[in-house]
Amino acid sequence: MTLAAAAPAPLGAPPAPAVRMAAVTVGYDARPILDGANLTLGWGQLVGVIGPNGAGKSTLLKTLLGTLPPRQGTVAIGGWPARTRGARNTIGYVPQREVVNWDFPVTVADVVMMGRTTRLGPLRFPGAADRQAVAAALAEVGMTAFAERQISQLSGGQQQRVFLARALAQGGRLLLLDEPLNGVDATTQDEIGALLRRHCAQGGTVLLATHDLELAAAWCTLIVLVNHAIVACGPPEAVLQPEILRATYGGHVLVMAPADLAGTPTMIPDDHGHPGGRPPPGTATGALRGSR
Amino acid sequence: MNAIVSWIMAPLQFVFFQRALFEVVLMGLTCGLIGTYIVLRGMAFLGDAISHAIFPGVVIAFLWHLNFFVGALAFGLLTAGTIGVVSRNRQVSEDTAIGVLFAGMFALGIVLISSIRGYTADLASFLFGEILGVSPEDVQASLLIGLLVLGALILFHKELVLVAFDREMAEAMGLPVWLVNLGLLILIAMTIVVSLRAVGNILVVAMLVTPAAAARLWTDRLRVMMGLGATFGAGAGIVGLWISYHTDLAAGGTIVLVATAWFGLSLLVAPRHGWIVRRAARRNSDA
Repeated sequence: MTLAAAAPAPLGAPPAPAVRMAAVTVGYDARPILDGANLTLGWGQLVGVIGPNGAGKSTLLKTLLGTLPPRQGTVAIGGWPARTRGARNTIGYVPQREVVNWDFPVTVADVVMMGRTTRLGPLRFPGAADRQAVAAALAEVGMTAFAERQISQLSGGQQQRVFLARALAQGGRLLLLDEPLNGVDATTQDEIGALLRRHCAQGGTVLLATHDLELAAAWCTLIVLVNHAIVACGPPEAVLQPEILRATYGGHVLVMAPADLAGTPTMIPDDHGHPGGRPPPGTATGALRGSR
Repeated sequence: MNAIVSWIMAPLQFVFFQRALFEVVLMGLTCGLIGTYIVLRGMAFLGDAISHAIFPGVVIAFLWHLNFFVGALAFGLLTAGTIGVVSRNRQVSEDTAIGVLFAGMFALGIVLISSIRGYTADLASFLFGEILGVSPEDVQASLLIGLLVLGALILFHKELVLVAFDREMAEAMGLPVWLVNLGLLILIAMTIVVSLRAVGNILVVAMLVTPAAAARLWTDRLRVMMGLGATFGAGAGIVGLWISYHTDLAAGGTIVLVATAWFGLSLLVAPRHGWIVRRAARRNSDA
């Protein structure tokens, strides 16, 4: 593998699928977090990864990133085996905003420049091309005016856009976003949505872990449902079906049925016929009994 | 006016004072730079632990008539490596492991030095520094180690910053995070070794933390913070050394007190993060 080959392919000419996971198991023997996951995703897709808390959404992203090596199976990113330089240069990553200390004394431009770290390699200093990439990424997310601002002075939505710009500066065609819309205002949500669709229109692929079913249904071209395995993968109208959602969430879910997205929310009945499933322990029923 | 000039000039005629001056400036600069990472990553306890764990190395070098820096550096690297490995395989919590290690090593140093008859004077000079007794070799060794630390901080700036700011991203990008962390521990150990002659094992942590913490109050830029931290560290060393010369008080303690006083003053008057400005801002927003 030459270094030249490791450079990203030009947009629009994808050599191999964005993601290919074959029989991937992650986690410990007794309780794997992901068990025998198979998943192939092409380019140009806006993919929503949904599932209950702790079901393996973040694990799926970390497996693709290569920070969690699978116990079994193979993972390839754009044709490159995960954890290789080629795979890492194909990915742009947006972690959850809460993982960093926003009081850190760096500017917006500094943070975006961090996206160039591994492309530069050790013992190399950023040059004109890197500064250009940073400027372009900031322009793309509409944060050019904030380049020299210290990051603690940003709103939640602005922080998220800085993280997105950093992922763009990484130069990856596959963007992985972990709950990118937590604590983000509606305007920023719309802007981020437009940006992600633009990235996909240019031949990139976006993987977006979210707990917001409604938003996933509205934005995404593909939905991956995760619950310790890949439960289903397909276009929203095909997979956001009551029986699939029940298999994913175990009956505790409030959804907008895809058929009437604009309409009223429908509760999916669980096996006992109660709308929305059994109430979790310690809620209304228990409280009433206690007051008697 | 003449009194001030002679107050400043008088000690400079002595070679031992010139050497001491050079040594405290080196110490202040290195501590202020590396201290930026210690402050931003909340590693004060770790810095304290490493400096205590170096103590037996100093004592062994003394007992075996080795160069002071050889013993200190050997134990510094040993400690940094041990902490690096322990924090990677988490059998016990990192905090506990460091606590056990540094107290045990420090006790080893005390036991070793107690084998010398009439050891209290030596003990004091190790623990609290003896800046006016530095030899030309000490200064050369400090200069060499200081330059190595500075070089590493410049060459690996972007890696050190990324791991400090966003460890998860660093891992995702394939950086060897544990190696960067181990490297930082080694740089901290080397900085402590540079500082031992000036302030001793016990007070090093003050120089690692206080100037950088004061610098953080004056700026929101990382590079500026490093520059200010180095300036404040060297400044505290210089001012403390002069005061100690004229008052005959312990140099190490005086230097640390100057740094502490400067931190206190910064807490009050620094722009943006200072108490006075914050209070004024609050009053304005109330009005």
